[in-house]
Amino acid sequence: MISLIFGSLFLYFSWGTVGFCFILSSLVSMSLLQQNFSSSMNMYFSLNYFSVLMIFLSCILCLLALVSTPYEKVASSYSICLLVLCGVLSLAFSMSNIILFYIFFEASLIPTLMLIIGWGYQPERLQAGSYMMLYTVGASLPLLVVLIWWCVENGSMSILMLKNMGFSFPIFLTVVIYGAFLVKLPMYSFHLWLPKAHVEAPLAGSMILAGILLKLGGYGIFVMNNSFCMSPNSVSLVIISLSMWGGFLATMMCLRQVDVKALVAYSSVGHMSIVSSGLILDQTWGVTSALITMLAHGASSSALFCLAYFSYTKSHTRNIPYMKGMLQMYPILSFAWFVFCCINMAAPPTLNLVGELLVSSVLWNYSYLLAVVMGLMVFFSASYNMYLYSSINHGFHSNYLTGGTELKSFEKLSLFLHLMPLLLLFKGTLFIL
Amino acid sequence: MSSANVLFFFVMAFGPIVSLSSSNWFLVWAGIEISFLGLVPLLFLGSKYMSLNKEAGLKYFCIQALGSALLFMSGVVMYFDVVDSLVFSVLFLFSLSIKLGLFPGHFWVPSIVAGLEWIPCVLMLTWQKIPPFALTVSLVSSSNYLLQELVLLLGGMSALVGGLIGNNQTSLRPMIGASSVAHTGWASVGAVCGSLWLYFILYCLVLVFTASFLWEGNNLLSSMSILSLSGLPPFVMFSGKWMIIKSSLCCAISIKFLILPILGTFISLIFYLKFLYSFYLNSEKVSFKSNISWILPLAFLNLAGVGYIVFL
Repeated sequence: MISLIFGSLFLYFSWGTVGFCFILSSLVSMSLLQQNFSSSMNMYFSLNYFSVLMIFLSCILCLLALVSTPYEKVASSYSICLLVLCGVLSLAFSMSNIILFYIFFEASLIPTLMLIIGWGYQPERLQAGSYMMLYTVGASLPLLVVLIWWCVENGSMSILMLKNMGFSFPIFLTVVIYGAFLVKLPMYSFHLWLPKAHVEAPLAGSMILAGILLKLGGYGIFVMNNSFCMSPNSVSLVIISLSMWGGFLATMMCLRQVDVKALVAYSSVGHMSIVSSGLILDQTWGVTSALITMLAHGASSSALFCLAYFSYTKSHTRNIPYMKGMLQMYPILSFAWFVFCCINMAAPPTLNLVGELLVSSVLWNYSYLLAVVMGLMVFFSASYNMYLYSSINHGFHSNYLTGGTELKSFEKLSLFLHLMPLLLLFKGTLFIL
Repeated sequence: MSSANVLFFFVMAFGPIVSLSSSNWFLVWAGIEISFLGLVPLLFLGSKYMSLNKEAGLKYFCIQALGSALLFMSGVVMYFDVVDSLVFSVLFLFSLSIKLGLFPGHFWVPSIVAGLEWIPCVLMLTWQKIPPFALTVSLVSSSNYLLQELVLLLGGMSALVGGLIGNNQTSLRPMIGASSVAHTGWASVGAVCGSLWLYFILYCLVLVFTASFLWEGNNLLSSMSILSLSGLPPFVMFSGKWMIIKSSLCCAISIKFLILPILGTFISLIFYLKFLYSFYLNSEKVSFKSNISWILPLAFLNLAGVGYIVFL
């Protein structure tokens, strides 16, 4: 599959070719989901139940990002950026060597930066790109030193070998080890780059950023748990409580946003706090819930960014008060808003709900106070989703909407394709390996 | 290019070979001087009527003459065992730092590079640095622990100072000079711990690419190679940084000596990004078509260098 993606780099770069490659590779990655063993590895690649789902998610989201932007057909470098991004991401998710994982983790920043700088809107995108690069690189350079030290100490770079070595390390290094991925996730208090990057990024950039790049942080925590034999210590418990409270604060921040994209960005900060605490507590239920939340959030937040952009093309503004009354003008679009807001707030028949239920029991197991914070977060996430839906769709339609364009078929296609990964609810055995 | 310049070029190329292959201190020093004297006429290459390169050449000559004199004096004292004291080792190190553009003697690099054309600039930042680096290695390997720590500290300071100077620059060539200061700092960390030459060769490679793309005026590729000077992972410079960190952890120096170079890399990233933006935004969207075909494999080598490690 990876050879497929990179092979297409050498063909000529037309929109159609790239789209075809993405379709093929997402089909291949779906067949990877049907594996009989919980993990398989060779010299370079290792696959387990976690990384297979992430590869599937990255292929399908790159495809959707391409589908949602057919007006970029003229620029071949746009398709190249997406292809490189997809290839680097699937390599990062499938490496069995920890330094190579780090390399591809960092390498995914460059095509994202190209997307933001090259196809963003306002001049502030330069500042947003610098913020993104500096936050993530600044947190991950100390990690590089620690990783190389750990590999030198253990005499191996393979994740499997490092897992079975069982050396110990000073406890304060936990901050450095998790830090790079917590910035990437992002945890509250390291999240400042995310709303900036989202607001300035083009549609495909923010879809992929929210959909997969944040998940790379979660996968990184999973890999670090494996290779450093982490178990919850005092430092990581501080991190968990910080991230839970931070998630709560981020959901509160959502209620006072006026920019749709910034609202969705803050909501992903809230969701990612569930992921980080589930992964750091490192119990089966926690990891399962993190995996489910990552998959569901990948699809739903990317869909919300799509919706935000499509509504922007209708109303030519991203301000929530100026966008009201979508229901009168674009009923299908407002139906999609309804569905995806429900999914984002974890209404019952969705995957998000399963994730939140599982993580709350893990948190309760550790300390009931954390579960209380979690409950508050669930309540406020429901409330900001209702605020988002009702203020955009209800009321008398604003005059900005009347000058808009009709709903195109590719927009409907990409929105309904976003529902597809969420159907994995019916294949629950994927998560419980 | 006049025919005399061919002669000067060979004189310049000859010097480091003499000094690296000689076992006599006088010949080592003479090799450095030959190469320096060969470079000075080359600094005036491509001069326009209003050009800064006369001034830059004069400054370069004065500063390097000072460095050579100090180098000769302290080298005679050190290698002929006249006085065995730390003072002359430190003086030797200081003169090397003037030659290299390392931290206490880094001040000349940005202002001189600002006045030069690309070819003498690249020659000055790559080929001229080989014998001083070799002397640094020989100094460090034959002396006590204190001097090794001093070189590590100077390397770290130089990486940091290079980053800080680069953030003050608004034009391209001084930025390249500042980044050369920072990279010299990393390389001298490598001189103490090992894998100096790998790092230095990779730096030369990337610098030559950057200069050639800038000279050609290909905005997209030059923006990417400016970013690849920063040593972020997908680029080939990263493997040099990786090797230096690895060998410095292997030879068990204290980890606190790595803090300054890492911080310097972080600060340098800010100005690399700044220059990346201005070149990337000026590039037209499809610039692959109009390109010379031999550049593409080289660019691929540069930009995706680390990817090769996967398939080794």
